[in-house]
Amino acid sequence: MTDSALTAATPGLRRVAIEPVTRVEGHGKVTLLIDAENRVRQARFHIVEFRGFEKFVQGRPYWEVPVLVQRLCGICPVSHHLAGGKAVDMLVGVTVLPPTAEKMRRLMHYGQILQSHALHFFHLASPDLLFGFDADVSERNVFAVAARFPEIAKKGILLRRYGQEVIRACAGKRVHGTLVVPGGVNKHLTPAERDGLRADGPQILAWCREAVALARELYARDAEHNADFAAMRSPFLSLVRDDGALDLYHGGLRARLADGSTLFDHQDYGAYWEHIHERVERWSYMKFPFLRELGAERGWYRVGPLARMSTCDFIPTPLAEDERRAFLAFGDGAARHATLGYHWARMIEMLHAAETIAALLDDPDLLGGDLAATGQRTDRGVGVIEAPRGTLIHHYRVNDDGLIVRANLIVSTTHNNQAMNEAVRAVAARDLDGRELTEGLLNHIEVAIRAYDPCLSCATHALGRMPLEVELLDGAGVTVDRLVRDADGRVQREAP
Amino acid sequence: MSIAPVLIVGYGNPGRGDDALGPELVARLEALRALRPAWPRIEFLTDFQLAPEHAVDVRGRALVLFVDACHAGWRPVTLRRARARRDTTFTSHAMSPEALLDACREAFGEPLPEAYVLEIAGTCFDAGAALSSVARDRLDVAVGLADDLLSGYRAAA
Repeated sequence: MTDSALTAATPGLRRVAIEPVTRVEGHGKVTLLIDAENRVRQARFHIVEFRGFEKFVQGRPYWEVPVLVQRLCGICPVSHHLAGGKAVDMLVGVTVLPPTAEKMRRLMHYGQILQSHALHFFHLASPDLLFGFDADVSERNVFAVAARFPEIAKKGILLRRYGQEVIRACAGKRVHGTLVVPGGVNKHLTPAERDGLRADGPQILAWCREAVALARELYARDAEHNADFAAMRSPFLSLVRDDGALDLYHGGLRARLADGSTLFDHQDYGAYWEHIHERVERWSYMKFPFLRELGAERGWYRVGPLARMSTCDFIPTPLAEDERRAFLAFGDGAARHATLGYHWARMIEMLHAAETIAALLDDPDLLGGDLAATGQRTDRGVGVIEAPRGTLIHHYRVNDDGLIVRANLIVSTTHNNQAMNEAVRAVAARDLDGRELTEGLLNHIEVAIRAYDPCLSCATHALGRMPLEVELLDGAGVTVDRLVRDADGRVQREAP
Repeated sequence: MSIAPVLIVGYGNPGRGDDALGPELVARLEALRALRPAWPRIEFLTDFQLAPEHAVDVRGRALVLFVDACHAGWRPVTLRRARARRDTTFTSHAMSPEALLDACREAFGEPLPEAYVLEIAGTCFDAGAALSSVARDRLDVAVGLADDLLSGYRAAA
């Protein structure tokens, strides 16, 4: 019997469900199929909310895309705004943006990278990293971080705030603002906006350097465990610049195998489907992309900060490049494959973002110059960027009236779908096998998922209470035990 | 100019039906502002959800009003006092006003503003949906409550 054929109805097996997963963006659910000896026979990370955006956008005019897609996700609206905007550039036949337009978009994007990475590291991941995965839940949260490490918490808030201010300067608003229009942008940076951001730049850069040092220290503190936790080796995918440099806004697709060899390089993302295929599993709304060259079984891969450290040949800002080299060399290269290496890599990218923002603010093109270009309209547009969480693909087909007839989005979290399942499987096999379930042990699984910073759904926060529920089911599907973490943090065992 | 003493934050996803109630109420109050010369100076803010950096927005205010959509409960519109409290809404996805106030106090160590939460019950949160007719009716009630609060604050100042 194959692993995928196992179900809770299989004699002797019981199912453990963790629902929803906390401190990730959106709602997920983990189920573990466990036999009578508490051996994990199967581990799955489910996505239980269906977004349906691809259907919703059909029939809408293409020029609405940059604004429409901002509402796709409340966590990363800028990423969708830029990727959707690049797809619309292709639809209006613009292949080269005016320098001002590209630099304004880059400024906005690196502001998004900075604020997103700051939020994840300081407020979502740091409780686990500072207090340990097994610390009591009353201690393992951002409030405890604020109480015991107030400077860390404060810097996290102010770094995030700076990134939001960069976005506001580009888009006019911190949220719901618009910069991208078909073929360009709609505004320059004003001298006052530039000067305001410049004034805070040195402090932000210093805090980013401290953040990298902290991430490195937290990883090195228990390097052997961190390298082994949710361990896996996989291919990596990202955009890279023509010269192989890290470029989070534009480039060609590069895939590298775990041994560092290159599978393909500088591929036109406008034909991404020649390399990236998607399969569907009946138990999850999220698709499972794979590299066509390696096939459906072996072709899963990882994207995001960890992947980008290995796919690029260098980071084109000096401080971040020094840190990347140290990261790749650490532990004879162990960190570059480690699930928990994502946190360290994320802080290196945050430093790169701060350096890039500082350099852009010195560029006079931001203050003047052509805002947009024009071209000959086409019927297919593909836009790809490296979003904070990884490669983000927007693909649209339009009819002669300019109405969208088909849309396909592959978001960063979808690329990492199989990797997150592998991480859950690895942790469950190592940490849960043969042991009684506790909240702390179950948190190990969440820690593994959280490292990928998954963004699982749109931001309907009104729906979003985030208790943790664990159910044990026997082979017949009958609940035999139930653990609930209430909204106030207490864990209670409830009668089935 | 110093920061406005009053902050009104409406949060929710305008692309998800009645989840837009928070930002919609802010838009309504901004429009009403010109007709209410007695109101104090106000900064209006909208966002998808409350996140830690909003502690910077809250800092130094005298009065903060959070406006949010909620699931249908026993009251269609509720105005309640918010006080700093630690809870498990420490995700950026669903940080509560109480948790945000607590984060603000911990981070900056300063006195907190008087804070209120205006919750408006929605009925439909589907992607791409417009505000439901029920939500529109409740929005009128909520605007009235906010108007009273702001006018009363001016009188007390």
